[in-house]
Amino acid sequence: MAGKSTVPLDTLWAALRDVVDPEIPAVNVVDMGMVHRVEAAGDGRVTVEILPTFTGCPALDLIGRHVRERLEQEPGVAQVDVRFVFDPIWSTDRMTPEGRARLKGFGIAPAPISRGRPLAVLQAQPVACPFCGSTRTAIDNLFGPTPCRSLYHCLDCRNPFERFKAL
Amino acid sequence: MISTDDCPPLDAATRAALVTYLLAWADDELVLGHRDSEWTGFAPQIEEDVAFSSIAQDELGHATLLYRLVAELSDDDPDRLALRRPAADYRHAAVVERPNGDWAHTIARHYLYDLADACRTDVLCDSSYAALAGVARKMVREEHYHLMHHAVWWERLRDGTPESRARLADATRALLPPAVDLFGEMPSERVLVAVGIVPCPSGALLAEWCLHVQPLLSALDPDLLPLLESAPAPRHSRPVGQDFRALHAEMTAVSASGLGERW
Repeated sequence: MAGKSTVPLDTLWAALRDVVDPEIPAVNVVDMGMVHRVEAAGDGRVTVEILPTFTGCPALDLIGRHVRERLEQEPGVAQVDVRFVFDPIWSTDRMTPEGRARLKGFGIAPAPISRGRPLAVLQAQPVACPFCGSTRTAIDNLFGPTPCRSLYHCLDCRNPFERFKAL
Repeated sequence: MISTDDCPPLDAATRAALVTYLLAWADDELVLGHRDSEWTGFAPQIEEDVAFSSIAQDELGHATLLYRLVAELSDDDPDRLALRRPAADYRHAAVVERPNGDWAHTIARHYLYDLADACRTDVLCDSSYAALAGVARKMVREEHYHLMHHAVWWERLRDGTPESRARLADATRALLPPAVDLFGEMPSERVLVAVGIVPCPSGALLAEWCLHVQPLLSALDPDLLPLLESAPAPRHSRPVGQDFRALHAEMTAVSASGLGERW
């Protein structure tokens, strides 16, 4: 149980908002929906459960290290245990509205809400260009430069753009 | 590391059986992922260069998950399991180590493999071992994209030109017998089936896979259908062939260099 010296969870969650995916620095791990649980024990030990995004993502270990290093800077934190868990499964549906907005501002169209059926939504919904908002867009490649992105271009403003894959 | 903290402890025999089962699967994913990566810079279209590089990364990601789970279960090092075992210790099915061949062979192999992998991961989503079920559920969603990609290419090659159709049929003819061997019974698989860690024996998965493959063969060349009736060879050690010897030397070269690489 929490003792007097337990670090407030709000403080830890706020600190986690400083940690970003190095390949998408606009979105922090909380807005990405990657943080499942944060627990603090009275002796300064903190446990963070992280939901891995795409399995081929090489940034995962780095993100885990940055989570640990950032929380260790908080007063009262003695030790941080980062655990990768798969229950629940991370999905793009977990991304917060703020995370989606920041992703779009970064030039990547957010994934549609998939409810576990990513391909059904991929075919059903038009994709809005993150630059001009037009939905007259065309897919060039289901696969992109990282495991989490597909490639599109806009038929109106002519910009190529990336879209976060629905998972 | 993948946490098994929430899973009940396994007795030694069950644990050993699970390690053997997962290692063979991890080796399948690693070896196929390396074959996929050989298209980087050489694929027939720039889009496919990107696609196969990304698919390779996904397969290596899946292998990483499985090696980490094995490492957790056997107190081992995932990097050692992936890259520092002698070639004779790998347990992948022969179909994944075959050289890529032409584009039709590449697509046919990957589609047949991904359909098999989908059968395997679908049932393992219901594994009684929570850590394994979680890993399987994770993979299923990513594999949707692979299946869609390969289904589109399979149809393009089948309906493209007489040459593309003939090449796809030739590749499929050569690939079906070793693809069936993906469903060979794993050593001590029965121990895992008995306790629901593996909810379904490999033989039953083969029947399921055939249901998906039959319509593909009927539409391509019905003469291929009897090839589905071959009995799968059990998964056990087999002599290391020249193809895998060369692939193993390449994929372990950086690790063996002693330069201190990290994943």
